[in-house]
Amino acid sequence: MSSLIDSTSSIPYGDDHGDNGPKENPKLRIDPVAVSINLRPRQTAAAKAHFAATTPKFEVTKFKVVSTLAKKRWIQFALIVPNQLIFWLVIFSGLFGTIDPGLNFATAITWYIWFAIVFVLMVVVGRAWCSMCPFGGFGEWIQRKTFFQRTQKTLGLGHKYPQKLAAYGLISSAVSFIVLTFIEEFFNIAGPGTPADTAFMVLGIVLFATASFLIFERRTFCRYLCPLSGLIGSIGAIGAAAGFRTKDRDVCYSCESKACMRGGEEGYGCPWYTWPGSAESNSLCGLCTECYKACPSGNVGLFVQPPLTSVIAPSRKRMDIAVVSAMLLGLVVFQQVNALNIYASLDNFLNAHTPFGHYPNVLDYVGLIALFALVPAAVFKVGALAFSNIATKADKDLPFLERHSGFRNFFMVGMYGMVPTVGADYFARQLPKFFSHATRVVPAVIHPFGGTNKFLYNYSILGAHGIITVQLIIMAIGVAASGYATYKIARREIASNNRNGATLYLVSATLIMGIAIALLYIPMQAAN
Amino acid sequence: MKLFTHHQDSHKVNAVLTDRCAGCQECLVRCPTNAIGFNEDSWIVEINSELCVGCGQCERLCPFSAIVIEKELSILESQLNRHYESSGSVFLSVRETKPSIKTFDAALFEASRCLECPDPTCVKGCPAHNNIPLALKNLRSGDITGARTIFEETSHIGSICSRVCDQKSQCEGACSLALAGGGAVSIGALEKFIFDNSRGEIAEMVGTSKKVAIIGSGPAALGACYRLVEAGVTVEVFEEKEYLGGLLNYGIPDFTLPAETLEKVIEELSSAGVYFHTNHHVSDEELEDLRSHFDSVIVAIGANIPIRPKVDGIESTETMDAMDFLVRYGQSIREATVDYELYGKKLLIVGAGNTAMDVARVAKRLGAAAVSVEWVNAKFAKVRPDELEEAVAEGVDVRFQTTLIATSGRVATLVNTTHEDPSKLPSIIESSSYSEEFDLIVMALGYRKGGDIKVVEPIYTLGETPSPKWSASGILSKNHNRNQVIGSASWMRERKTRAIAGIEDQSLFAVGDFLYGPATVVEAMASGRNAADRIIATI
Repeated sequence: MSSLIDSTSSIPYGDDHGDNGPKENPKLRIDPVAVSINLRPRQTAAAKAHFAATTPKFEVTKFKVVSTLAKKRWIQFALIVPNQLIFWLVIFSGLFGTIDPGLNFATAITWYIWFAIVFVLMVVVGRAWCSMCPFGGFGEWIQRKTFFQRTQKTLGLGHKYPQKLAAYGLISSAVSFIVLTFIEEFFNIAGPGTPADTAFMVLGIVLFATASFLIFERRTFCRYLCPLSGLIGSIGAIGAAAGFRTKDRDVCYSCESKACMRGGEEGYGCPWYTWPGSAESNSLCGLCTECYKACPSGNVGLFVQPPLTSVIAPSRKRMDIAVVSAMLLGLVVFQQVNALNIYASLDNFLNAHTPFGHYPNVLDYVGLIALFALVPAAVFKVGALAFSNIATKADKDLPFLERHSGFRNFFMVGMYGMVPTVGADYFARQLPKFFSHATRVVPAVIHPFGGTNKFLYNYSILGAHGIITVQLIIMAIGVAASGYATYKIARREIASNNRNGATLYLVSATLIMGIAIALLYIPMQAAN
Repeated sequence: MKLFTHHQDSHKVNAVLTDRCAGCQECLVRCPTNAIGFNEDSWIVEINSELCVGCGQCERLCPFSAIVIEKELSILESQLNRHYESSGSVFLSVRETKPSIKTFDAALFEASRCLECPDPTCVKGCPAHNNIPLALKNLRSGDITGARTIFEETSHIGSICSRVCDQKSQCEGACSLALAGGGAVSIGALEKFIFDNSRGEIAEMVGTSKKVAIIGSGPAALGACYRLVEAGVTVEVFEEKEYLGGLLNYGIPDFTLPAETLEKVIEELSSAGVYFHTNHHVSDEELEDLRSHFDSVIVAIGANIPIRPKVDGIESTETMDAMDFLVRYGQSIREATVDYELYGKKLLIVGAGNTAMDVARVAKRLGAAAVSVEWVNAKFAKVRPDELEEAVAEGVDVRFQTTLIATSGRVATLVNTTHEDPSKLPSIIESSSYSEEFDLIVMALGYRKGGDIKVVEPIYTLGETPSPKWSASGILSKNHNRNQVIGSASWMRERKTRAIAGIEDQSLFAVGDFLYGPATVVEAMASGRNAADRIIATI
């Protein structure tokens, strides 16, 4: 037995030092707390089959440099700080810099560069942005009262997100995205309008995030309230990052500490409410590395997967993600239509004849988003009527995510299948700003608070025709991916007596809708 | 036998938050009534509200707070009337005042309220970690001796603990039913019933040449004694007073802890071969001598340096220390001698902790009037609630947020305080002072550790982060307003009793109150046992 003065010395029994105690001595008392615990058996027999398709194979943390960095407590801080600096600079230059939006750092960086980067990260990686997001980072520093250390006490009220809203998963986030987009359109912030508006918007998001972090526990803001969470959570499923997952599921189930959920010595409990032991998609892994640090048995790793895995493979399709995809589809198609002359006529007409007298008119904004979201819903409803063999209706007494019906079955398969199209659409929609104005970042960076140097100011990387071509190529990839994903999901999950017919219907529907959306880019003429 | 009632609360629902449940089944494996099932399609748990009794353990332990239990607790209320009757005149008995469970049926009913939690939080609330659910299970099956044996695996002094423990902040406070906002299983009363109605036995000894000396004979010493004797170690105890038992003997009056209860424990140890030296003060020099004659020496001399208040004129006033008072007058109560010394007198007791209540209640029994003043707010007082209730029922005048600032002869100047923040000291309201005459002032402000034996500082063997076994049971959960205090207090006790100061060659240990200052009997006992465990580990 080692020194008794040594605080790490073994003691005859104990949770924390039991491994080096002389257990073989029969006279020793065993840990009386452990003796009193008689747990019921877990039901994990079906785990292997349940998770088979979603289990990623390639572990990135097996590379020493990745694992060493991921274990560092400061790693997320280091990712957040540059973005944090940029966004404070956005706020200050937006408020105090030149009012020329083309030259101001705030508008240039936010609307020409940042959005494009977020969409690229989202489609390629998943929640990469979340791991470095300055808004969540700022709130979390305050909530944890530290920049990166593991502390035990948090600041704030620590409320749970209201059960009634949490039951609808990511839908709150999609609603806040639609509201934010309305605000942005209303004030023409992304036009870009005056830099001060951009600064106020960013400041508003910081305040909203910080307040949420002080009211709710963990990253409730990031999961449920952040305008981008629903978008990244659904479309990010295309991405190749599988997120932090378990290496051996049995170890997770038998784990006594569940430190990845509750928090352990080295890491916080998952701020996103995702358990590596049962994660089957990258949708709700914020890549924050906490579970990787907290796991007492080194059983968590960062994995990558083939693109589309998180769209196709999960055996548990989530109705909230299907609904969010439809809402976001409605929004992005609205934004496409918004660039057409026909929309301007409708909006002007409504502004003249309704109490809302400002672009965008609330009625056409909400109405068109809803209309475009309901189109796929209607298409899949028809599919369900024609092909589904589920006779029962959704049981309203069950929680939203647990209801089953023929429509839900078709809608979830179809909307999961549409995810690549929606992702490509958001990506393509963002391209004109990037290709026309991205170089303006150069003069803006030279003079963060505004100058007269117009070096590269009027340079466009691509002209209108080039942009449309790229947009159509991206849409073609997205639509093709949707067709493939729909086929794969429908083959496995569609509940129909005529599986071939149902699959053909769903694949055709996603392809036709996707092509229709893609073709809208031609009359849009590379509009911003 | 399980006794449930079924409420028909259609508007109150239990719910699994399907968005957040990760299917880890921490709740399922710990549900006392098997009310939680698993849905393999959606990989989340489901609650069967018919089987749920509303104990809320799942809600407290869910790592992602994904369960909401709104169903009310549906366990029958306890039928033991543990409240002291406070109406009308009170007979100030010199015998034990706390009622016992009178019949086996009553004990059976109470024991049947235990949910037998698969991961019992009461065990964590008990500083000795008695396996309470298993003991009560034995009791339910009619095996009182078996129940006692289970208790004795972790504590032989159940007859004492059941009488002096503050169960409300320990086992009963941590009982699932209490954490759910209901009435806990009366674990203390059942433990008393079990120990009073069975005979103890020290497990068969295993021979070893090891010899251990224990200085002091209080609860920490007794805890170590039992453990060492069981392991076949030769034990000698050195007590400086005439009586054995330390604070258990002279510090706790007979109406709380009858002398024969302690005597039985001492007898048990004596007959197991422990040699008790009384009237034997061990000085620093003799300690060195003992270390050369014994393999190990355990110092368990308690914390008995009285804390003195700063009061103007106190030197010229007749005062007495609470322990001296209890030794002197507790004797009269124990021996039921006619003692008129305090008759008709008025006592001021400075402090309103457990010792102060003992002083006041002894004084009442000897015909004196007792006023107890305590400067903290009653909400933050450290006194056992049942002890305070009994004292008030017996006519002790307990004044919280009041303190003594000056004395002049028989006249004491008292003053009120304001105290709203438990983390700060109370502040005196100067304008509220008033004078009152008293015949004797007794100081009962507590004790601190000290004395002529110096031992190395305590070493904490546990870090700040609670053990996984504690977190997983939900006892530390902050979801529930009641258990925040119980869980973290239990964890702090755990850290304290696991800390044992010693020197490298194991020749010297410091345990109990002597190590960490005044605490409870059971914590001292657990600390003593833990030191003994370290010694035994080297055999």
